Formats: sequence, C-alpha cells, structure tokens
Amino acid sequence: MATLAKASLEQLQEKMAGLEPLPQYSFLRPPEIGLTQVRGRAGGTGQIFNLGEMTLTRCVLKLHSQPMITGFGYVAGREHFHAELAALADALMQHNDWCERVKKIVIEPLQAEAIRQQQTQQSQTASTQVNFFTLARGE
Amino acid sequence: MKITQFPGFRVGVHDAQITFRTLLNALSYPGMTQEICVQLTPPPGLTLACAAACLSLLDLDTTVWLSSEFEPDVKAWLKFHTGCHFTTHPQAASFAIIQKLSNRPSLGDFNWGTAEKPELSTTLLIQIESLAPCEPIRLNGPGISEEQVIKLPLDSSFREEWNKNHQSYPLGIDVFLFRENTIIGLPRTTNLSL
Repeated sequence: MATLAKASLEQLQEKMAGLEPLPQYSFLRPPEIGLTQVRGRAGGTGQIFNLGEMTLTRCVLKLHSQPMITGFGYVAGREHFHAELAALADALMQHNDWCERVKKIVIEPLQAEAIRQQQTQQSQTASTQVNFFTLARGE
Repeated sequence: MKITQFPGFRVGVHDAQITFRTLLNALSYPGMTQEICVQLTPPPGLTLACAAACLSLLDLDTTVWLSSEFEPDVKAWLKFHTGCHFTTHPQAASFAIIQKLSNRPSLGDFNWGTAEKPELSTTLLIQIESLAPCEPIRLNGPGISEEQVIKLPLDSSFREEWNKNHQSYPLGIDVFLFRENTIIGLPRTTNLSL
C-alpha cells in the first residue's frame, strides 16, 4: 500500500496499463479529497506533536468477483484517479488469480524505482557533505 | 468488523443536501408527507428514506442506538459510510434507529435532554412497515395551520407516551417516521389527538 501511495500517478498508470484487460469493479466510496493531520514524534520516540495538515484522496472499490474483494486506496494529493488505481491494485493483490501478476508487473518495478530514487538522492546529498573540525587551542 | 458491500450516496454532497432539506421540511411541516428523491441501494432492512436520512445526519461525532432486529450488514454499512459510534444505552444516543414501529422501545427510555441543553435529546428514526389502513390521527401545533390528519399505525400506548413527551416541552424527543421513500416528521411541539 505504501508503494502504491508513494508512486507517482504517471508511473502507476504506466504499470497498471500492463495488466490490461482489468476486471470490472464499482465504487463503495468514490474517490474523495480530504484533510488529515500529520503527527510526528520528536526524535522518533519523544512526545507526539502535530506537524501540520496535508491533503489526501481516498477511495474504496469492490471487484465484481465471488467472494467479494474490497480494495482501499489512500494517497497524498488531490488526484482522484491515483486513489482509484491504488485501490484497484490493492484489490487485485487480494485476488488469487491476479496477485502474482500484480506483484511482478506493478509492485516490484515501483519498489525498485523508489529505491533507485532514494539512492540517487542519498548520493547527491552525500556529495555535498561538509565536515566541521574544531582545533584544540594549545595553551 | 466486516466491510459492507453496499455503496452510499452517488453524489455525496448534493444527495446529502437534498435529503437534509427534506428532513428540515418534515420537521417544519409536521405530519406532511415529504418525499426523498435520491438514488441509493440501502442494505436489506433499511428503507431508502431512512438510509438516506442516516447518511445525511450521522457523522463521526454522533452516537447511534440501533434496534437489535437489524442485520449486522446495516451496522457495517452505517459504520463504513458515516463513521458513527454505536451504543447499547438509549440514554447515551444522539440518534436511535428503530426497524419497526410495532417493536419499538418506550419513548421514555431515550434521552429527553436537560433544561440547559434540550437540543441534546435523542432523535428517533422509526421505520413503518405496515400499509394497513388505520384510524386517522389529528395533529396540531407550530407549523400546522388548523390541523393535519395522518393515517399511521400509532397505537394508544404511543399516543400516551407522546403526550407526555409533548407536555414536557422544551424537553423531549423528535421523531422521523419513514416508509419506503417518504418521511413524516413529528417534532416535540406537535400535539396528537384522535
């Protein structure tokens, strides 16, 4: 779910196109935009504080299959279609016939892409690293 | 809890606004039949009008008392689409949903509000199942010029409890009666007589 939420819409659209033809589905909760409070902990373990609000789009759909499968999509931003695709991928991941294909065609490439981007960013950050030294004054 | 398989309003904002307006009209003109004009597939056990009213009135801050005859599907549907909380204590409920008028708890079981906050009383959403002809009941009070006659299966015990409710104004509960896609409002200010 995190992979689907963090991927960009273009990437997700491109990967989902590889799954065609997609099964029939209908909305339980059509894509809707809302606000959520993002909370953090100081230093990762300290007191909870409110970092700020962010826009979020969510969507729930069901596949026309037996037994019924529901997929949930929660993504950052205001893109209805992104939430819809994320929910569809989530639903397909729970479907026995689709699970492997979705993993191979959508999830793994997106994960690899995310890791690659993270590494690029880390190496860019690392190259600008500055070290500070304090010289002890001999007195 | 299991996830519902029934969708909510098709156009969330507009359908909720239309329904809310209809509910306001129902309380403004007690006894007058109002029609709900939205498309909805409610879970079995809920009528269309009652389901639409639930989607419009309930949210994360409301506490709901649900009569025990409802299927678990109804509870799951309400939870999913409105996020409301459920209670088993009628006194703690801001809304009570009653599946059948014939099988209702006493009106006195619910919260009638306090002198400082009469608006915190429970609002009852009651479904009427029977279409059998029944004796006409005359209504009068604010919102009714002269009198309004309704033909609903409100038996003598209901009328007795209602009179107590009416007399304890400004305290008391308000009731919405639902049949298929129609609503009739009975605010606490309305007087019932045969």
